[in-house]
Amino acid sequence: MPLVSLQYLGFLLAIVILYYLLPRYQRLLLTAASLVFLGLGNLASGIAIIVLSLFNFQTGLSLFSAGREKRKTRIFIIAVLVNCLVILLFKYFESTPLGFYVKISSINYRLNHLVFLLGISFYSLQNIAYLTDVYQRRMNPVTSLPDFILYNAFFPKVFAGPIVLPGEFFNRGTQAIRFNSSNIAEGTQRILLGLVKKVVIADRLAPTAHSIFDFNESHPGATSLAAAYVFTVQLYFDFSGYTDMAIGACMLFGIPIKENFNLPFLARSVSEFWRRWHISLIDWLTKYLYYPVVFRLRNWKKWAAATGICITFIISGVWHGIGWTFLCWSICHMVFLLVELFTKMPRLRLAKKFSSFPYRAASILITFNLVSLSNIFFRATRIGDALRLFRQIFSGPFLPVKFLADFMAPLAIGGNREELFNYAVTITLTAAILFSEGFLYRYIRGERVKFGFILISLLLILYFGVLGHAEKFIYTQF
Amino acid sequence: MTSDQILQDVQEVFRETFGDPGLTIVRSTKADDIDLWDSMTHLELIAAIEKKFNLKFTFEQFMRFNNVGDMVSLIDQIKQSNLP
Amino acid sequence: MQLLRKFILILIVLWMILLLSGKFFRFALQHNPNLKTDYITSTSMKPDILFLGPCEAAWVMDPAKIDPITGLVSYNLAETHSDFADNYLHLYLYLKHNPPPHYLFLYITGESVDSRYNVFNTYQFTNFLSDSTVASVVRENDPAYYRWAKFPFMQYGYYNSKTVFQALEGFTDFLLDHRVPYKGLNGFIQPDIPKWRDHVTDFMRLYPRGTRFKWDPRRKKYLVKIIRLALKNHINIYLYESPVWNPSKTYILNRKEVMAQIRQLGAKYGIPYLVFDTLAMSNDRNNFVTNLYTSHAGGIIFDSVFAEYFNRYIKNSPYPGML
Repeated sequence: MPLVSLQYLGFLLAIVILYYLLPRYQRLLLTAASLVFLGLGNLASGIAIIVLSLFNFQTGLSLFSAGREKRKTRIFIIAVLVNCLVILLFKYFESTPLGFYVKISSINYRLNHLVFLLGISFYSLQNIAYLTDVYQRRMNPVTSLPDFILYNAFFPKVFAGPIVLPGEFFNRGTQAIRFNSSNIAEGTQRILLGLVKKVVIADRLAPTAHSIFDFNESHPGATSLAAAYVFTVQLYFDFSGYTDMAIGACMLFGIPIKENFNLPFLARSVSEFWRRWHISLIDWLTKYLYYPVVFRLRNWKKWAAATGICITFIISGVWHGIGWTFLCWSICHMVFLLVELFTKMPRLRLAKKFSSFPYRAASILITFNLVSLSNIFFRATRIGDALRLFRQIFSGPFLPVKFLADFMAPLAIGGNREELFNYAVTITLTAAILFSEGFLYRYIRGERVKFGFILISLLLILYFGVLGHAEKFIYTQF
Repeated sequence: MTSDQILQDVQEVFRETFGDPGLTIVRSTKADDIDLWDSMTHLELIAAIEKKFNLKFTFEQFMRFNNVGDMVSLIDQIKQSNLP
Repeated sequence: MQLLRKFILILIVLWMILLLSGKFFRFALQHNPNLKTDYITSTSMKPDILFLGPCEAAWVMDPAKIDPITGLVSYNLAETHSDFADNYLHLYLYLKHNPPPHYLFLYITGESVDSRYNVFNTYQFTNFLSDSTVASVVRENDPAYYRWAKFPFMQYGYYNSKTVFQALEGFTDFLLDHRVPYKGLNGFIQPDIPKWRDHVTDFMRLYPRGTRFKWDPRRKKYLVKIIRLALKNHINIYLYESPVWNPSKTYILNRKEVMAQIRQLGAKYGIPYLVFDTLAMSNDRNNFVTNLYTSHAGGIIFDSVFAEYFNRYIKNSPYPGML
């Protein structure tokens, strides 16, 4: 069941109604609904999540009852390795040609029928976090299997997070959640905002990146750079739109889930970017990989952090996908962060010298460019495509000779009046939402139903959303 | 050493680590409140505090720091238990 | 319950806005001369020759170049990236509102019979769903759209990336009382970006060891329907293929077989298949935009070759023992 579909919205509505009608069985209902949801889309995914949940649930209990410390450590290490292996196998699948379709933006949840074992790399991280917390006695093992399955399989977020840590999920208490109209209003509005971001922005931007990245054609540097920007914005709207839908759905059930994005394009440094982008993954990496590694090395001062950064980003690169493109992408970020780490003081002095606004604007611009350039590796199907784009940006003629034919037409997938009109609409809507996003997030909070917001969102989706896969044209020949 | 004194000393460490002599912190100051306080500087900060107060945190203690108050209370606690 | 009341109110307002926009889109699209379906059903025309097919016909067969040589009037009814079902409906709507032409040339090549290439462009028919023939073809070729089309406005909203522009264009044309397609009256579409798209390289990347075309049953079905519709209306119908860039042919492993099968199918209905693949122009990359459709320069060459051929073999003696 694709998340962007009437079936899903109907399913969600039905479950929400049942949820508040049967307060005693709320968790059980969500567990059952999640399994149905997964099993309907892809039976293998449903089975995989049950098997892996059983395995980790049982391991949690064994860790608790294992007597000797040595035995406990052995169980812990083996179980973590099993989870890592599961992720690796899945990532290997993604690097095969069939998996390519899954890879783009690492989520592409609309093509979920292609996704072999949905969400596995996300909930495996949750399982590792759970085992670690139990092993280090930060929590007692969970004793209810349905609750544990729910932790992994909770349907709004099983596709692609946010990655929830065990402490956040299991510490909510067991009392039933009462109906609260502000949850419903805010949740609905959040889902709509996510739909707009996905269907009206990300899907409209997607063909541009496809046309520049996936065809072996030469373009002026400016065109290639613009495509890198477009992809970065597309990726953001795709992923954060999905996240908004996930968080909105969780709100409908009165279950708070932590935010995954915080206006990342306002970041003034790459390290700040990583505190605003895919926050739940970075939290996981910090807590379960970076700190354990660097804590012992803390007397190395900056070199401890540097070592931690290298290890974290190599692992993060592999988690995102196996292949040269992802390795290069993670090396880019590693280099950015190391440079920032060792230039912190000079940058502080620089900031003091200049007035704050131009310095801030320049920092935001530079950060966005660095992230966009690194995303060329993230998006390219093969390393050759990425290098072709870099060559065009840095060594080819940069400015287009003919603005319409060399710049607009490749970006707008053709240059006729209709395509240019659609592209102008896309860019206008993207800019409008990008600049009003902070305001929108604040506006849709609270218990009042925002009549105008809901109506305008729905109309935007129906007038400008990609509904009928009209973009299929770019995959077919002329 | 009272906890106010500890806070003063911790503030000193913060000022050195973040290179900002005007920085003031209170018990409720969190990582979000200081721009440069991220997972990289956090480590430097902890190492500097350990040196200043001549103590060692365990990993468990380290992971439980949510704000300055947590640090101060823990330092206080460790110092108390080390008294002869 | 206040919540529920508000949600219902929103839905009612939305429903009303959609009903009104549906009416507006219907009106605006009807007044858009650039939509071939709307144009051919609202203007009376009587050309001698019709061209039908996907962009290889739409972008190559230029009546302005052909007519002076043949001395006849032609109209290009082809639509970009259209399949046979699409072509069939275009012909059906054309014949419903206009007298049949004498000659019909239907473009067909190996790609045409394989479902990987070209599509059914549902958005061309949004205004004709009340016609039962159109409705049944649309239902067969785009069932998801057909289900949605029952909701107000969704028959337009579903393909909004096409219809929004077309409706605005049509409404502007209505306000300015503009009844002429901006690309001209004869249906020929000059490619907007006459730039070589490195189609063959992509082709080679996709199928490094070449590819084989496979007959799609639905393509075949609608191909036959077009032929039958034409014969029923006493039109002299010809299948034809315009030049193909020679180097690309090696990547189509079963080109000869498919071409023979097309010829056979035509022969079954007594229709010739005209193939222009021995022209010298096929060796020069400058004559092509992709491997299948010609550039401006290539178009000038081929259109005159075609027109001369027409004069010599077809004009005075339709269906002689040709080729």
